[in-house]
Amino acid sequence: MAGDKEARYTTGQIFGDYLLMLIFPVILSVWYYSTAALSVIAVCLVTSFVCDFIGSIIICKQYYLADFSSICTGLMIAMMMPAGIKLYVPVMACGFAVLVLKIPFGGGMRTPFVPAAAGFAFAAICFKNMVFDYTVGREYMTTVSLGSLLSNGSALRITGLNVLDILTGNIYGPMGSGCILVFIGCIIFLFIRRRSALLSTLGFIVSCVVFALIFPRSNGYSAASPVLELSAGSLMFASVFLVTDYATLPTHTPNKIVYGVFCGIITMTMRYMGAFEEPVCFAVLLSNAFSPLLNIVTDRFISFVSKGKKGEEVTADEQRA
Amino acid sequence: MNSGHKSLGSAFARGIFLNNPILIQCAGLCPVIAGTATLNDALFISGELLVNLLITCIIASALLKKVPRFIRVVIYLVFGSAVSCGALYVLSRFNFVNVGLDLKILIPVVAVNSLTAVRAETYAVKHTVKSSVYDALAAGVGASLVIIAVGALREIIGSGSIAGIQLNTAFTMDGMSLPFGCLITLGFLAAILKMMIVSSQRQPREKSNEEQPTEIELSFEPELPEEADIGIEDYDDIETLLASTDEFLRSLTGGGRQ
Repeated sequence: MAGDKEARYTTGQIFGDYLLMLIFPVILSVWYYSTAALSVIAVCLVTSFVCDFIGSIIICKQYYLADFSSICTGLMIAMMMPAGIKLYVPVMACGFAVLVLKIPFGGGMRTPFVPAAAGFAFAAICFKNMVFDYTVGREYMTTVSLGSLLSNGSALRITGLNVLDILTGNIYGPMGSGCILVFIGCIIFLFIRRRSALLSTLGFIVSCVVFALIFPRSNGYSAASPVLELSAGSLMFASVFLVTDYATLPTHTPNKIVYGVFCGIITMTMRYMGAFEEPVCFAVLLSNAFSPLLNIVTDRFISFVSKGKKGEEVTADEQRA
Repeated sequence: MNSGHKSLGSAFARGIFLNNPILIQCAGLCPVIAGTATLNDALFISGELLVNLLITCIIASALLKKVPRFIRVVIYLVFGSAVSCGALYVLSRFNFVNVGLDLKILIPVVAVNSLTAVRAETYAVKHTVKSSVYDALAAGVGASLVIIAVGALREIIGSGSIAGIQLNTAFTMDGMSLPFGCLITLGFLAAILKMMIVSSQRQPREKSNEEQPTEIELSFEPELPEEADIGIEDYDDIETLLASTDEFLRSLTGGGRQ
């Protein structure tokens, strides 16, 4: 069983998987944005490492580089940032993620909230104009991001020309979270390595697709709405890297699907009604808060059902007697 | 009657550091979060809180000892409202304090803050007037210091200014002006205070351990806490007893989760 295998995984193995999956978005972002992407990635990595190291010293805990959690957090934040952002913004985001989320709660496997999501949410609140400004870094592409086009209700059509751009991430958006093909590859990797975590990803994507089909935001062909919604912003990135976070994922298998569906609905609702262009990190944080509640409800439901079955068996035995 | 604090120094040591009403007890957080976006706001709120706390504690200690609790709480609210009315009058009559419009709406929040009720109910009604004054002053000054520090930090980081004077900061973080910025700042301040308290308590303990001979260390027997008081008659079987004993020993040695 996949669950039994996961139970034997160490922190290093789990975050090592994430690191392997993150290599491809990193390569793509460097391909598209060259030095601008490299500088953001380098700054995020260095900040996460330094903050984790200093935090470990402060709380008198031995620092393990081999658990890769801080490196993964730094890379995830970097991939959700625009390439031309001022470098102090990712520094603040990574510092917040590590010093406020990771260190005080005892490491990457014990955090109640996904550190990368919290770091990005912090940056989105404090530097809203910069975090969602994708115009700096690439002057040769379309003028605005898909997310802003969708939020404005623009008439969008998928043609043979731009469908490849959308699939390969050749559009305005976060520097490492636009290429859908890469994330399909990551989903296949997750299917091999951590099938139970993939349930939440599937629940998340399916709920987003259904939501987009029922309430299309683009004025054009409504069937294109799910593709556009999935391609916009960091939605696919979050479905692979944030929703599947080991520490915050519910333990029971049905709960993982419910968790993913809940996160997807919140994301789409926030996209339609919220103030931010890409609110997926806020939705993930909100879902994290409900994760323990889901476990409690399921435990009680299971115990209630098992008690009911036992009671029925006892009454049947009594009747036979 | 319990005399409480023996001196102003011990009262201040407890009120500002060991038992800080905001950072340790987490009391009266609402006015702190609502009214500390700038230093001027923080100064005004802290002044109002101090006056409110002092008046309420003096009256609670002097007059309200025989009054039933449910009536006392209403009286605290009335005094809080009176102080708030006075603060609003000062703001409208004398324009010497440069505070924001939001603060004028939030000033009545101080009237219903939990800090006043907690200090008056847990301390003032059980102690002498002098001791209650010491306690109110210590708690008020402790809370005021935190409020002023939070207000200053939030204004510098969030708006790039201090008391309305613009600073040449490299960048500003708008989120620090929001309530969540206050909670984060309070969290960091609480962590720093806790670290200071723990390190100050560790030093004399280490010194005393160094001075004591080895024989005394070996004969040291820790006192059982009330929660962990185990009696053999409470247990039906030996397995439960062994499990609980093992858990108790682990709690004493600080073992278990690393």
